[in-house]
Amino acid sequence: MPDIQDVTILLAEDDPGHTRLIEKNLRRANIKNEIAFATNGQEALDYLFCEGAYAHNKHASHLLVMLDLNMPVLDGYQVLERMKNDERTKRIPVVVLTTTDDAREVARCYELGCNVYVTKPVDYEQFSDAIRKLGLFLSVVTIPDGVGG
Amino acid sequence: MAQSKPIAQGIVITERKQTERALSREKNFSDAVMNSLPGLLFVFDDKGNTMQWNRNVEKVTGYSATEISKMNILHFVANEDQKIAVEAMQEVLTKGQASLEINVLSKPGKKIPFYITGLHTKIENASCVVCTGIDITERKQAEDALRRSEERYRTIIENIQDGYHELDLVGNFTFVNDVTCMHLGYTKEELIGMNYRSVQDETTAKKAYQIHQEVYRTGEQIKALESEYIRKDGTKEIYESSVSLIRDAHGKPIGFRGISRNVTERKKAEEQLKRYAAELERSNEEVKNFAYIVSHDLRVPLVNLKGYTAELRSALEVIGSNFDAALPHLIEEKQSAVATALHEDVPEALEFITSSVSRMDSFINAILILSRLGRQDLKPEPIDMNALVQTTVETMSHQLQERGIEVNVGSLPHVVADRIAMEQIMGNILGNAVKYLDSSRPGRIEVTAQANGAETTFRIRDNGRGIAAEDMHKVFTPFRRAGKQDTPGEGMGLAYVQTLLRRHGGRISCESELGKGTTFTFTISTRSEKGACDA
Repeated sequence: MPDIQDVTILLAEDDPGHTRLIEKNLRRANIKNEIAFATNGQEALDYLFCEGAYAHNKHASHLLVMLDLNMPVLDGYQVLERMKNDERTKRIPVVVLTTTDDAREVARCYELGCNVYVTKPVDYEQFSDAIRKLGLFLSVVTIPDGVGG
Repeated sequence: MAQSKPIAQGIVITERKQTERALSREKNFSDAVMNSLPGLLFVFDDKGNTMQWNRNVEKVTGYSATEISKMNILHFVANEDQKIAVEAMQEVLTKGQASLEINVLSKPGKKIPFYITGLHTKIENASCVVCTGIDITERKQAEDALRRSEERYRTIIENIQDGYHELDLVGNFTFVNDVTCMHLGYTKEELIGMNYRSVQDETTAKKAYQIHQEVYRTGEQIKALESEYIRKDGTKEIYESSVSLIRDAHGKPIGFRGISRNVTERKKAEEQLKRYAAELERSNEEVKNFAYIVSHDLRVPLVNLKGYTAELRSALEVIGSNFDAALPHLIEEKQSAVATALHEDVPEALEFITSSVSRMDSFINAILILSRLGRQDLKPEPIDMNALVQTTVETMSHQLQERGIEVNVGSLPHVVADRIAMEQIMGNILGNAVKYLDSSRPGRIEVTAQANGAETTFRIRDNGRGIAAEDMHKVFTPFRRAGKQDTPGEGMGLAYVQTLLRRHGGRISCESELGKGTTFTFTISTRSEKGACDA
């Protein structure tokens, strides 16, 4: 089992405000991991598969993906589906972060194989609370060995 | 024939007796022959004077033998036939024979149609005519009936609004009515002899060929056949036709008959209706999605507004905690302004932003709920409304007791509906009734129901504060609340109720009088009908 500190967090989120809030709150929750940013679904996949702009990158050894559902180019569902259908990425834990708690949306995400579903609350306290819990989750989660191929 | 005129005179005396006997035999024989004839038999001279006749003449005409013996043959002919009778007589005398149809006039004035044949002959060297007549009353009647029947069908065929045509076995038109001509834009003369393939495109004609083959094979009529015809001017129209087989007297197929109705307009209307339905479904879907997207996407900036307001607040705390140390470094007249800005203005502004964002968030949530109610799957099941209302009332029992409110529930029937939806509907309406009672009098709420066949109508009546006529339009509108705003609420309850009832194929209405009370009436389908919950 790799050290939790070695895990890189890929944050796929198109709204820069949300990205910053999530980052700030992760840091406040004492998450010191490296964070990579993607502003749409395609970018997230490129990062994961070292394609496109990331063609010359080395595969991150251990990853955790925080995924927004409503993103341009490819949305979160599409990213999730591709990840779970690919041998190289299917074991990467995925945390879905989205603005609604629509039951069908939640069900669909779990069906597609997401590990945790977090609703972004408008209430700031709740938001930090959610992120803090996520930090707690990250510290206990088992990140599988040898991501990438 | 005892009274008939003698036809022979001058008998040899010596053989008188024998001859008399022989004559008598001959006469008996000829009488028997004449009287056994089924029709009339007359013998008259070339002037038309009657000479001899059979008993049928007396029977048919009603004249006595004495009368007949003095009559001319033309007396037996009806007025309108006198001319042809005279002509026929001439013909017999010149050509030897003739035949005609005339009406025989009887003594009481009755006209009877007869087919008469006359033969010119000589008796005792005197020129005379032997004439027989057959009663053709029945034949005439049959002919008349046939003519009337033909006329009837011709009238129908010429006057119906549908096209009628007949084809021979190879598909050439042998008969068309005016409507068919109008349908196809050709004249009758053009159409007769033309093949049906000339008024159809190849695919349609091929199909029509198969249909006619089948009718020929089975002998059974095919109905409601839709096909496209090409008019003379090239335009195309759709017809609904039936095809059946025409057989000759021996049952051998000799052609086809078809009746066609122009259904182009109906088809167009149907297509239009289908398009409208699809459009409606699409726009309905769009509205649902719109509500969802709006509520979803609107929350994105709200998360930022709220998030960064909190960031500002915490930044402000950092500044505030260091403010006292920094204060002495400011010039005196700026100190109080900065303190006011820091401790009052900025927190107040942040407070307004925060509360506005919260309100907006609750609005968006309400829209989201409304859009979910419009989309969620309903599970219709039989529901005992007595039990459901009882449970709803029990959840409010504390409030009811405290405020001395009386709720009377009549005998309520079973309905088939989504249970959760029905709980929400009853909960909202009863909740409103309790909420908006008039505190100056004891609250009374009454729930009744009436089943009318496929529907059940529920009535929830209260003696509360009522709704002013000018506020009635707000009752079911989202975010609109009528009257005094002294109770909490978003103004969404009845909008939810209306959406849920519409999904059940039901409807709701409201009657109210300010200061007297309000009655909500809603109708729901009693039976479980497929689609009732998808309306």
